[in-house]
Amino acid sequence: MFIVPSLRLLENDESLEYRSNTYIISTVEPNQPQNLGIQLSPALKDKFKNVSSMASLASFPCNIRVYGQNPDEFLLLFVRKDRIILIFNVLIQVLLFFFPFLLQFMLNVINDLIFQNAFNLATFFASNYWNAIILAWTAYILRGLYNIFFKWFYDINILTTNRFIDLDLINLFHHRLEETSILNIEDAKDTQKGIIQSIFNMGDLEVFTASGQTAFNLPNVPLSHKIRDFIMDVVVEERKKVNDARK
Amino acid sequence: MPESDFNQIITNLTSGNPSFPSYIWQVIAAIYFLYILIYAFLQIRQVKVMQKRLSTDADGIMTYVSYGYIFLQFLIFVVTLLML
Repeated sequence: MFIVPSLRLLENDESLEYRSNTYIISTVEPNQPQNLGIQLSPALKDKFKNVSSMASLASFPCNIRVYGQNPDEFLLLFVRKDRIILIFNVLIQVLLFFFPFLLQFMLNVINDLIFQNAFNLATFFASNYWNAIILAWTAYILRGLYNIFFKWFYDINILTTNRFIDLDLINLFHHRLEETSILNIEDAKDTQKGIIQSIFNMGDLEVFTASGQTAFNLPNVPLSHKIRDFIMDVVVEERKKVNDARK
Repeated sequence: MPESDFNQIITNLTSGNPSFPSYIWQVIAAIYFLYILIYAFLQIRQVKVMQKRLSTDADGIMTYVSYGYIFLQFLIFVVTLLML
């Protein structure tokens, strides 16, 4: 019953989209700035390229579109949690897959050593019912793997020529899209702590807005120091442009 | 629990005994997999919503992966029911 109204909302969402945005969202062809005659410096124009969508960090991607992207707006950077975090989470699921086999082994050992095989566990473990339980567990693990991958994929932060965007897929019924103008960005802080972050050269990045509060948290991102530097370079550059225009 | 009682329960559970007929296993499995499948369809719906927020050239592959995932879950469900 609760699916029907949300599906209807989805249809309405299509019709409510601003026309130019609909066009931008629906196309996935490379949208090179030079093809559109956008005024960018020659050095910057050459930097835009097709990047892997599965990357943790990429600069100047031209094959990725974000909701509400204007024709004269370009992605400068996208960053998500390091792929090593994804691998760790997948490994945990792989280890969890073996849990029923570990349970079977433990129960057999306990039954053998403590109860001298008094309980007839062998019959149960040899039956199809036990195999069915393992299959059900496999289905549960598959669900977890699917969830982990998409939560990693859609937990992404994007810096465009106009905005800083934070897209989060928190759980099945909870996602969030936050954005701020890059002119509102005041400060950025990167922290590298712990053995995992030090070994894999990743860190936690915090981006502060004009209000002085942490607006965006980017945990476990690769090369956080370079991202912080990149973001602040863009902010300084944009502020300079605005100030020059005012003069 | 006395050992004999435990062994009797195991025998009842695994031999289709009238006190615990085998179709009860099938009903339990069906309810569980129904939950898994509904969850999978909702997951795919959420991915479609997210693809509107962030469009990449991997969207097509993601969709195929999602339907492959549903098919795999359904396959496991059918095999489980056939086993019981």
